[in-house]
Amino acid sequence: MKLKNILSKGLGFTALSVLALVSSCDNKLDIDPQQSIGSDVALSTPEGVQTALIGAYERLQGGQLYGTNLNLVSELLAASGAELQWSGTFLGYRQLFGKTTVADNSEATRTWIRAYETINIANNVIASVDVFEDETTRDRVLGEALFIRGIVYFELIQLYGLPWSAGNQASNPGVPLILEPTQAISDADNVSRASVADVYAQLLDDLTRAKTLLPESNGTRANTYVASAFLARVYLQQADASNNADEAFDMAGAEADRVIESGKYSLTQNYTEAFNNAANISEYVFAIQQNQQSNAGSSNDGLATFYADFNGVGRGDVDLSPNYVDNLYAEGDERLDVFYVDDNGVLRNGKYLDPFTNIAVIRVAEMYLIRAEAAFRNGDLEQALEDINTVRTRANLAPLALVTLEDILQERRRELAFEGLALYDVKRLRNSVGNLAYNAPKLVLPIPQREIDVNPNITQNPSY
Amino acid sequence: MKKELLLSFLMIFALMTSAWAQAQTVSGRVTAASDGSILPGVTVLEKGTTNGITTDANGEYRLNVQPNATLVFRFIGMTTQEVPVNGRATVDVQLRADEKQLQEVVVVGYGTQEKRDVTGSVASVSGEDLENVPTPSLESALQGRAAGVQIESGSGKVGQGIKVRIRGSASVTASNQPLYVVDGIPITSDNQGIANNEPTNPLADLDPNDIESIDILKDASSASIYGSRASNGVVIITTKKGRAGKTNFNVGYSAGVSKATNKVDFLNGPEYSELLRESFERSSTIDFYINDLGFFADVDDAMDYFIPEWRNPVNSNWQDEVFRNGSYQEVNVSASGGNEKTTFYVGGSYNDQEGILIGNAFERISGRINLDHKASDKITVGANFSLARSENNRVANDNAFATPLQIVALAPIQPILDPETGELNPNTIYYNGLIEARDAFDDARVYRNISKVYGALNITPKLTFRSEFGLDLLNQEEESYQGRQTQGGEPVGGLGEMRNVNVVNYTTNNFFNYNTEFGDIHSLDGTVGMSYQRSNTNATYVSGQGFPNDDFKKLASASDITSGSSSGTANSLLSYFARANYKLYDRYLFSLSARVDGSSRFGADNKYGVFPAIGLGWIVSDEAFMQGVDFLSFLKLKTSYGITGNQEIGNFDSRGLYSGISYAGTSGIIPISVENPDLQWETTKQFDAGVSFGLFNDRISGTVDYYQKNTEDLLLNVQVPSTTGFTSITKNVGKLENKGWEVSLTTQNLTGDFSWSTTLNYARNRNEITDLQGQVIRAGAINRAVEGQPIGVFFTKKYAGVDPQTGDALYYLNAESDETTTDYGAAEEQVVGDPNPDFQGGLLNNFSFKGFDLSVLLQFVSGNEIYNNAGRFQSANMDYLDNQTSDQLDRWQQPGDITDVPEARFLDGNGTATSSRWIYDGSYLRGKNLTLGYTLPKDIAGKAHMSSVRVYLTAQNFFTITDYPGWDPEVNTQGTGPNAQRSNIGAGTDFYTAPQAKTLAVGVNFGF
Repeated sequence: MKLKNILSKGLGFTALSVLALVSSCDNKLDIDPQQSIGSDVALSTPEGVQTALIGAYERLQGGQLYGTNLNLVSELLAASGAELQWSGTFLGYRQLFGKTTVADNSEATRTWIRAYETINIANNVIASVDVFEDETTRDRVLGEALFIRGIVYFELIQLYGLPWSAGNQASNPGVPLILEPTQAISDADNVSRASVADVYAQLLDDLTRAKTLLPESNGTRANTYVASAFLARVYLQQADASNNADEAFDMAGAEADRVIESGKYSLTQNYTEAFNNAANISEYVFAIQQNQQSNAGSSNDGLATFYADFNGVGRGDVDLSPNYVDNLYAEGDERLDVFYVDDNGVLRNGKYLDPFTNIAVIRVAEMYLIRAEAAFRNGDLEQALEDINTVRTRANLAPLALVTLEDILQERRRELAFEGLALYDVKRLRNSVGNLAYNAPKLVLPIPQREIDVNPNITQNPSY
Repeated sequence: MKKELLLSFLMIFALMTSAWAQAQTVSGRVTAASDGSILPGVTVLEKGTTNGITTDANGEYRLNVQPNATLVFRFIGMTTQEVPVNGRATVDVQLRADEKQLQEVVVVGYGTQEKRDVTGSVASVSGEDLENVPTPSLESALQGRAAGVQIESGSGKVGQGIKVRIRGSASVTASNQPLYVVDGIPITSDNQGIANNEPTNPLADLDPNDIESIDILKDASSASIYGSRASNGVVIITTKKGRAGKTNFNVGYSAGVSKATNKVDFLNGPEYSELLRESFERSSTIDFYINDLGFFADVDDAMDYFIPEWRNPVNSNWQDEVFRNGSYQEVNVSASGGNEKTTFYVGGSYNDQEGILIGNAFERISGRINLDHKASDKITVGANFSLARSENNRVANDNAFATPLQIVALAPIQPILDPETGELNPNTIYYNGLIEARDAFDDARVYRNISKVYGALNITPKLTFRSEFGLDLLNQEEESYQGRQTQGGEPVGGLGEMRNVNVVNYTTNNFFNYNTEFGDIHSLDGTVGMSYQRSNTNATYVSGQGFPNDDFKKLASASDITSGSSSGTANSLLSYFARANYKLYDRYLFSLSARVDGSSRFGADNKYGVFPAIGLGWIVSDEAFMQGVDFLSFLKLKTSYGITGNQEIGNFDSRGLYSGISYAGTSGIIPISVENPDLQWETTKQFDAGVSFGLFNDRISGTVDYYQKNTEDLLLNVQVPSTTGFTSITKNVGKLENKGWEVSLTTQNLTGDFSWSTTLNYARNRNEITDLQGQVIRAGAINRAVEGQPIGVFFTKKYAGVDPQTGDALYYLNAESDETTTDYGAAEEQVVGDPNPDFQGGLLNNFSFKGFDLSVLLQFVSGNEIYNNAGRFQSANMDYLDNQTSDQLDRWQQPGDITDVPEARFLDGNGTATSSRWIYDGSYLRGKNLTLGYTLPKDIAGKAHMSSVRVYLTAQNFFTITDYPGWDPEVNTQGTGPNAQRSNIGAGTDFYTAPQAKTLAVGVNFGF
């Protein structure tokens, strides 16, 4: 080969290979992960938004929310020691039970974090519903996302703010209101707390919109009546217990009435049948679905883990007081059947025996009780009596001939014992826990210390 | 490089000029001085003319020359010789290998440079130093040989990943391991093992016998050509090439035995019994159970409950059961040679190392072919191809009952074999790890192919273009099985796991090199090019349980497949680089380099980073005014400054991502991270100043370097308000610095028949974290990363010994006072130690006399501390049933006893909580390697048709001097989940960590 030939060929080869390499490299740095997808594409399709909505339900399930804490934190904070003892080793729960909660309490921290994770997913779904061309689907998805955001704000405001019954709602600090999805982190994310009134206004708006958007039926997920059931709870919490004429009682009663009159829900034959079901039953208005693959935990988390000590399930950390239970229920009350004595002779709550069965968040029995209370306060004693007797009859108790407010409130305690409502009844009825008043600072969870550490604009609750 | 260029100049010149008048013929034969082998292809030139020829296949030449001519003999790799003809008809010549030329070239990124001209800081280790060292992995052989390169085995388990730090830790959360480049191709070097075990070592797939040299780029001006991966230094590994001439064969065999560098004294049966009873008798807990609860009748009854064997004690030495005499065996064969056009190196080796712990072994079989072919004056092509299979029999991680050395926790009064069954005793106080050794395995089998093809084109004599394509293919299958009687397998009827990982890492480099001189004044060497690298990792994992019996170990026989998943990830790097080395008057050196790196890992707004560096040098000794200074043979001052990066974080940390979940049997997605489009590399700005010198005709030579490395934009997980739906993001915040001195000094103490040379290397590094935005990052047992302290300081309560009156353990209340307390809770945590050494280095002495050679390498580390995290159990004044180290016999017994060991009180926790009680000085001096060899005289070897025969004896880790009371001061337990942050911060911690092996081997090398 001639030198010139080699040279020109060589140069050509060089130039070609460099060109080929450089020009084809423009997109060489765009590598996408294989086990996850980018947030830009995740919500760009109807399927994507629907799966994100499932993600929001999944977040509700964890021990941080309905899986454990939205029940257990309420019950432990409301316990004076006469009802139950926390005998477990988990420091966070021990503090709650002993009213010695500190600002970095692990339970207050994880519930707060998970609640806002859930809200962020709901916000993402709400911001993306325009991908749906089909209006029915869009309304349903939007309704579910609003529903989830609404109930999570309701749980947050009940735990981290002073109760509505404490008054000054417009000035008492509630929780930060985040209504837009997080796209990036900036100083704008150092949000401050909205007032109790603003948080209630927002969650009522969410739930009310959800109620109109949601369909009559939606499998195990939220339908319009589930929204009503939560609205009934919210109004009840807002109603002034010292003023029977408070309109909120009527509104609570109307929502409860709407759920009952839908005809979709009914009480089980026996009280114990209302618990530990692997599938939803007619009594469940809303329940968290658990199975082997997806649950709140079977060894270190989950309601069964903490309440049960039964057939190898559970840590047996909540010991019930036999006196309390005996005094609460009359002889022959079938609801006593749900309690059992474990191998060590300790009385336990049998409503959560299996980590792979559903957790009822709202049973229709609660709707009867709300309607009864609302009717009573409104002077409709007949309706009140009928509803109370519906609940009593199922428990195999003789119907009452006359009903008082105290009867109704006691019936609530019996029917809904250890289902997570104890603290909220204490607060709305302005009762006390031991020597702590309903509005005592230690009955309000701390804003997590980590949040105080990273967000200069958020204020801590008193006593933390 | 320069020589070759000169040669081609001359050749071209020769072609262009016409012939000369001749007067006589001269002929002869050219041979190698070293072994007398014939040298074909040697250029023979009449000096001052273009009249020349090359030697033929027999090394012979014939040339017509002027009678008074001088012949010039030139050959690559040999010293050029000039021989006056003086009218002779026959001139035979022996050429000597040009040691100077071979040694004084260092390999830098995308090229080579004469050592004299280097303005940066490069430590070079010759491949000869790595040969015949009885360790399977090249890092171990490097230990103590390069200044500023800290090499620390995690433990004595063979095949385990090894921690390498060049000039300290430059990062807190990203990897601090250097970049490894083999023949120009960056290779995969990170852990590929099953989670929950210690890291594997992909570098162990390289055969040290194939290595020609290792050059470690330490400062910015040498390393910044590797841009965003250079902050931790770059280790450039060059494999052997053939040389034109006779084919050299080399066959080596060595074999040896090894044992632990040290054993720890534990209580024997009678001592244990004595201390146990005393502990029970003095225990308030046991007293409470007896007298308050009535749970036990008396002390005997309590002892029956805890360890009934106290009534029939035996005397078992559990430690001896897990240590064994390891063995070492290596065979290697190589052939290299070629002609002026084509050279080759072919090597193969088999290496088999049985660890000193039962169940631990490493085996490698590997082969390599390196080919280079000059297709013409213009075109060179070549290929490197290597294939290795390694198998590592792994044992459980240090923090597992199943790991061999946790067996020392077992009570010596319990029998090893169950007297009833004659089988291994399953009723020990903790899991009997011997059952694990018998019934379980964890084998990682790796198939590794590191290959490269290249083509180079001399466009003009000054301008060359080189294109390389390299592939590093790592295929690993890790299979484990835990039998039905093992701790993990027993509850589930046998437990099997299989993980396959496939890492395809390919690179292409394309660059121009321009090399020119203008007169004697200017010299310029420039490189410009681009590189693209992509690494794809795919893994599958399956686990199953419920096996019919232990004869079935494959998952096909599992009754229940408990987990199955596959995953994949990838990253890529697109880079452009340039370098110019300019030399004025052959003594003023200027070096400029820069790399632009685009990484798939970084945020959309910061995809590309620029990493420039500058180096300046002045060869003072070449100045005219220095000519009278005779004792100073060489003096160079140099300084450099530059910017490098670290991009060793997760592949997708900058992204906002959603992952899959399921709820109520339906699949869903949830956000797992929020986007940080600003995320970028960590930046290290490094300054280096140094001096290289030679005294008394280089009888004493050395280098001293001072450096300062300031790292900023640390990649940290930063907490954010969780109201965003996220708790943390990876951000660039925080700063740290490393500064230090490095000295390397070589003296030729004796030359001549008896020669003796000494090389000392010494390095001192100070690390300080200067800004973490107030965060305190905990990792390891008691380590922390905290502002104002070196990375990984030990932070816990400070132990103050024992109250001589009561026998209670005491702690210092706080760092400010000497006040002590018995209340552990009241004592404040404080900085109680530092795992980073003050200084470290190595001392190498080489002796030779006639055929004998002796080399002794000592290695030292000083000023670091070690926390024995197992002290809470094994040196805890018999607080529980764990067997105790013998020093616990010094416990406090009666008022007035002065001791550091508190009174033994069973379960009372007297001084057993985490504290500085188990922090020790970790300094050590180690006899790293001693090799004594004898090379047979040539004539004797020749009779056996050998060109060389050498027999040697080599001893690795032949002594260790340390105050550390544990097994071995070279410890760095990785614990579970070996991530970068944990190994960066959690340093200097011992947890039943296996000691290094002391190995003695004999070997023989044949050359022919």
